[in-house]
Amino acid sequence: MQEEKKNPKNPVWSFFSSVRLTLALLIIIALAAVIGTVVPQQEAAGESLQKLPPALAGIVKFLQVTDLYHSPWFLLLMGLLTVNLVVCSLNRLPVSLRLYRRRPGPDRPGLYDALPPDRVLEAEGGVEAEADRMERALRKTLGNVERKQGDQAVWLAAHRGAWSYFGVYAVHAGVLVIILGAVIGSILGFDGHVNIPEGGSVDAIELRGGKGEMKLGFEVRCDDFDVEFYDSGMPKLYRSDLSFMKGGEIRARGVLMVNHPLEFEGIRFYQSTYGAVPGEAVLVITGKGQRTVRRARQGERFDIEGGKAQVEILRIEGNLMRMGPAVKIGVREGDRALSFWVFKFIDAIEEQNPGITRQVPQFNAGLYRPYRFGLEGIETSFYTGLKVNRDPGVPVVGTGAFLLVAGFLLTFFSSHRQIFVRVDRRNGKTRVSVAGQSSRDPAKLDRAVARAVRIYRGEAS
Amino acid sequence: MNTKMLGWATVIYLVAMAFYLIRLLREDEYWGKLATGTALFGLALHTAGIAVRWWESHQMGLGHAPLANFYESMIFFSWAIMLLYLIMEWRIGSRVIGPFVTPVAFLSMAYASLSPDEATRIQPLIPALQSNWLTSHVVTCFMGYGAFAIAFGLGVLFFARRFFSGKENPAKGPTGPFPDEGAVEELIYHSTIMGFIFLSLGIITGSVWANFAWGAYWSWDPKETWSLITWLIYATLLHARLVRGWRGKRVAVMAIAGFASVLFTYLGVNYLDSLHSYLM
Ligand code: HEM
Repeated sequence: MQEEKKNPKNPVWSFFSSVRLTLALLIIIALAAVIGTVVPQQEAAGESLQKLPPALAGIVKFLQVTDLYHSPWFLLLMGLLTVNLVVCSLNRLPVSLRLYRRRPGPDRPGLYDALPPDRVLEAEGGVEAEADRMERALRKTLGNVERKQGDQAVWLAAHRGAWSYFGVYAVHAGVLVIILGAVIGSILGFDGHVNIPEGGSVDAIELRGGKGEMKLGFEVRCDDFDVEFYDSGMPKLYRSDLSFMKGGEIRARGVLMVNHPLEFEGIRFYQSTYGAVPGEAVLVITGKGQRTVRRARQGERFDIEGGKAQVEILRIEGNLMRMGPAVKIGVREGDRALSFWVFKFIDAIEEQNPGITRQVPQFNAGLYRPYRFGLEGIETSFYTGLKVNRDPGVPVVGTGAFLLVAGFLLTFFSSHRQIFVRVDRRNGKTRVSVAGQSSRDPAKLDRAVARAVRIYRGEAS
Repeated sequence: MNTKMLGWATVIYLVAMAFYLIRLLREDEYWGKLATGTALFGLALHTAGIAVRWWESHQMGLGHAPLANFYESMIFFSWAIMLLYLIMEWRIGSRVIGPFVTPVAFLSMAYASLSPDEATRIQPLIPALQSNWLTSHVVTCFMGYGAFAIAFGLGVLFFARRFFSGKENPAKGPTGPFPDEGAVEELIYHSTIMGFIFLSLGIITGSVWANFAWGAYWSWDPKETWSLITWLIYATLLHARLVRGWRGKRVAVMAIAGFASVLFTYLGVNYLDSLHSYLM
């Protein structure tokens, strides 16, 4: 309120201590943030940029609006806000300190002149006795009572909540500490991603933003990955069983789920995504009185007929044309080549469409005589996708958030309340006049005054 | 069961809204008392509806607070508005804000009831929502939105007062059924403070949760970013008022603009790509 009165000489200082600058910065940062939510950011930006005319794309790139929140000009805005906050607070601190220390005397002239009638009480006892009673009442309501003795009168001053002048500093310090925490995190922390196939392990992660690989210094193995669904098809649970290993030795194990990260050596792992990798098809080949079971992945080849023919797995489909799992197989013998689909549920399919394997040779798993192919199943294997990071700024940001909220409580729900009392004699009676002053909440002060008066009168305790 | 109760609460709010309006136009507290009674009854039914929905989710073996999808959030938004409004009515002892706030609560309920059947059913939680932070995050955010809705209603009231009282000296004294501008403005300020604190708590609880679920307390996701924009707008209002002495019309305009930003944070963001999109 009483800003900009110190240091009028230094224009830089007065520029940064101005709340007008604050208003401008808050609005500009808000507008910039709006742009950031409309323009696709980072990875998402690439495609959209290509659709733009080159000139426009050039402007967009120049302004760096596709990575707006990390662009120099956005950081500059945040920097300006920081300086603004620091300077503003330093500038105001002496004012608040003065307010905090100031104890206006209860015998100021004029203080009791315009009191409403219910704030002027008449009493039977002497000045000293009534003043004692009032002093006890004030001690109970506000605490911190001072007494001033005059020839004809006694004055009392009580106050409470002077700390509330510093609530705003806690709020502003909270904002600063949060910004500090974000800076610490971006300098000392890292952020990356890694996919681990079930049963596999990794010792490095991919850093975000194309910053390359980073060695972890230990190995992470995915022992098991599970995904469960509700009947409606919505996902119910993602779960990875992880082992953390050093020098081939398991140091820690843990279950990783969404909302339940794991930490090892200061690095945190989060369940982020998962995916299925084309698994192995389990084929049953019968013919010439033999029955063999072969497992193969897509693209894999193997021999049959003692090497005379070769089989290749051309495609693996989990659900082909809604007829269940199927594998497309190519057989080559010399320069003769065949290809056909092998369904898992071929019996049921034939039952529903009698004669289909004759009409559609592509669906005839016995096309390469005398062998017949069957599909026992397709084993899908999963990989788990983990987000991996370390952010030493987190506790700092947490502290800032705490300060912010504590500051709100101090600023908005507490106030400096002062009550002044004069006890003197008038028209042969003892007169008690009660005045008050509040830094922000007159209603709360009125309640305090009313309570003090009730206690004084013995109507409350 | 619960959707029926909530449906009735919607109708009752409409009736309360009508009573508040009649009270305003006829300046007759008989209607005012009727309006308050009706609103209280609506809120009681509304509360019971939410409680029953919670209980039913336990019966279904899902067991989560009814704050997990868009339908449920609209219901809670309306609940927060009515609760805060009735507390305010009781505290200031005036019903004049009723006609400007109850429509927001009613519209939120009515809009929720238009949701497709599928959305009104109690659904199980996807993994990202299986968190203790869900409840505290949603409650704080929507209490904030509710307080801002009241500040918005007061902003509208501010201009309605000018409209009805004509040009002659609108700043002074009560005009007909309306309180004076200074009092309205003071109420806007107090509602904004409540909203600002709750929104801050909502952003903080959301960040804690995001730090568990996504591994980052802040990812500049559109919903996060818009909540920050809203926060900045109200921070601007507080500074402009306290430090630069803005009063009256400017504060009312900002309360209305701020609420537009709240609505965009809540609804508009769903049209942008967002990690939060599971709320739709
Ligand atoms: C995002 C950043 C900021 C936030 C969240 C914030 C928050 C607040 C809050 C909540 C109040 C109390 C308002 C009230 O009592 O109605 C306040 C007051 C104030 N703020 Fe800020 N503020 C921020 C930035 C700044 C900056 C950069 C300045 C620097 C000029 C500043 C200067 C002040 C001043 C001078 C007051 C008045 C203190 C008083 O008279 O008691 N604020 N701020």
